Amino acid sequence: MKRSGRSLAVATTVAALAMSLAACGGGSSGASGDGTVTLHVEAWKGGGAEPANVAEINKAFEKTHPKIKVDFEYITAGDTYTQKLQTELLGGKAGDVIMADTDKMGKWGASGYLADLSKEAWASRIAPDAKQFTQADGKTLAMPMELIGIGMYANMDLLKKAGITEVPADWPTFLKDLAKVKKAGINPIALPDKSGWTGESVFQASGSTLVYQKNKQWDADFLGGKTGFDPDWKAPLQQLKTLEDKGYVNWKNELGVDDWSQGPQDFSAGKSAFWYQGAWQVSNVKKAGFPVSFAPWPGGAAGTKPNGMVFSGTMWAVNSQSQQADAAREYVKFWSQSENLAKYLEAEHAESPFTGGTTPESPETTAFTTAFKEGRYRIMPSNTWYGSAAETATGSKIQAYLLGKASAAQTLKDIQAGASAK
Amino acid sequence: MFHRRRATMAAFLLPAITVYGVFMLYPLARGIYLSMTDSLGGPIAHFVGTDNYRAMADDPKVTAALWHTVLYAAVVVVVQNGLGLLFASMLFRRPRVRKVLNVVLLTPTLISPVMAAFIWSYLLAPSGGINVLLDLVGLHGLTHVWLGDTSTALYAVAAVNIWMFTGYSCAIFLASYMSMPAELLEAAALDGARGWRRFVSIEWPLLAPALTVNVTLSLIGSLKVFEFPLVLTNGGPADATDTLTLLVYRNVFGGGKFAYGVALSVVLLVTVVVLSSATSSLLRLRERRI
Repeated sequence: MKRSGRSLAVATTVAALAMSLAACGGGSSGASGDGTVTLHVEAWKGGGAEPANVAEINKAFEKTHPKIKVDFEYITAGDTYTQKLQTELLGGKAGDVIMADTDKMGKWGASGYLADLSKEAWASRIAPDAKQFTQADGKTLAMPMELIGIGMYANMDLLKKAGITEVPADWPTFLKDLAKVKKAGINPIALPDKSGWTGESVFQASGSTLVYQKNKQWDADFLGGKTGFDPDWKAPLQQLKTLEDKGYVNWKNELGVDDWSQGPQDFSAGKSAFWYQGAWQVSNVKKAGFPVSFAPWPGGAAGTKPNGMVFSGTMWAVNSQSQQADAAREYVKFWSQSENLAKYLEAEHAESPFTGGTTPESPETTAFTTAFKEGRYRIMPSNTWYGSAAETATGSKIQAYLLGKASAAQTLKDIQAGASAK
Repeated sequence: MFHRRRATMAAFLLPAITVYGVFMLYPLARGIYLSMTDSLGGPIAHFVGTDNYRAMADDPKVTAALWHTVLYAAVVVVVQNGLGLLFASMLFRRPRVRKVLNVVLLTPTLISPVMAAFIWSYLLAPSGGINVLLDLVGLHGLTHVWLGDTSTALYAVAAVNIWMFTGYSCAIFLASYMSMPAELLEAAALDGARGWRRFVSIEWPLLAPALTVNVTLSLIGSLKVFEFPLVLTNGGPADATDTLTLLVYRNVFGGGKFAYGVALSVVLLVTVVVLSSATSSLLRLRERRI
């Protein structure tokens, strides 16, 4: 073969490899001779930096179900999990019980990978607010595990140094506090946004108060074509810019810092007074040893109380191809019981998605839990106009806006286009 | 006799052709078929013809990613091979330190690209090692948010790629240098060819095969770059480092647009094949002319 031909073959081979997706199985499930069933469970919680009491709950399950052994597999969250599960589902090798979120549930459900759990007893106990996130085409395809807050962290030691005793609840107070903190020589706020998540999430959190306190039905109105992002979401977008205009944040810098690795490390190291992340980080931040408070984003007018932004987080789904369907349903049922789920919620600092469910209290999340109990919250519409593709698109459009590459009007137009995409 | 020889050749080729067919050609054909469906990654798929390709033509993200990919490849191919050639030329002239420095230059290629990208994400952070070093040597004016600025992010990612593989290019050029006939170089020296003159008239033509290999390999590698932009910038800021491979990945695994992602990978395949084979052919033509 000539060398030019070989180069062509190499190029073709390399690109063809990029197109072939190899399914790789993990874990094991099956039944042994003595009738013991092994259940393969796959999740992105229960290991690494987020043990979330999953091991304890699994142990309790095995204790009450001696004929079922749990083969639990932890997989890193995000793309790693999706990539692994997508190929395993395609190859018929996925776990009997798999963790999902609303977005994954919708996609995997549409491909016929998930069992219909509508007839399970716990399905009728799902809180009305949370129900829509567990369903596709009228069928319940997953058991919700949590409604988890995403909001603002405050390092209370640093606030104390600046003479601040409580976390701000409205925008003017927040700006005053940021000024005090800055004057005290402390970095006011960290909003690491390399992946684009923090910017879009703060935008959403600010809108939770500024948009939804005016119109609780905004999502329905938007989906019905009755309203749009401009001018409704102009103020949340402006808040991001205001933080830079007043010198509390440098967005170009923030776009160089990773939201998920460097961000949590920097806040835990006491490098800023405020930070923005999900409640799932509370357990890790607590280990840093300083008093921390997790509260809703203080986006509202002076004297108002903010809405918390809640995300329909992790869920358990049953693989429709599972050979251990009964054991899988039993496992999900066990998790739905308040006393078991409470252990998970305690670690996650999340709210129960069930009517009458137990939501553990913790001093760090009092401000957020209070807002939730008072009904001051809005659930991120990840099942409708804010699926993962729209979320990613919003993140990059907001980055462009923060770098001065796009006007507010253009950004809102782009966000609307992303949210309207089918 | 002739037919028996051909039959024997075919018999020997059959296992390789079978493996290549099963593991390369079939997935390729299946991929092309999938790109013409509305598959979400599951067993349910309907044939939609060229809809995905038509959607791609109207997608500004694809145009931008294609441009970023080509620009990235151009920067990597030119700088990486330029530096590789420079180092090879220097090492060739310094036999005492040649082995040691060649190993030093090759060390980055031994690290996993993901790990290297992760380390560099810290080094290139606003308060990371690069800016700290610039501050230390009094070059505060040169400190920059390398990965947070749309005008530098793609080049910063390319720089990591270049850091990692320059030693590889250098090793290929150095091997070519080492195979140059000593008598030819001595004759050139006797004729008074030194320095730049010797490089242009003697070394550069003799390095033509190494240049072909280096350019072709670095072009293919950089066109299908994935780990560096994924870990360093995830396509940001504001999509400034979005490449075709990232778009494929995001659509297949994140966006749930499996078929669209596969259609994008077909475009990537065509881009890689066309550009690399055209470059390789041109360089071979140049070799024959020399």
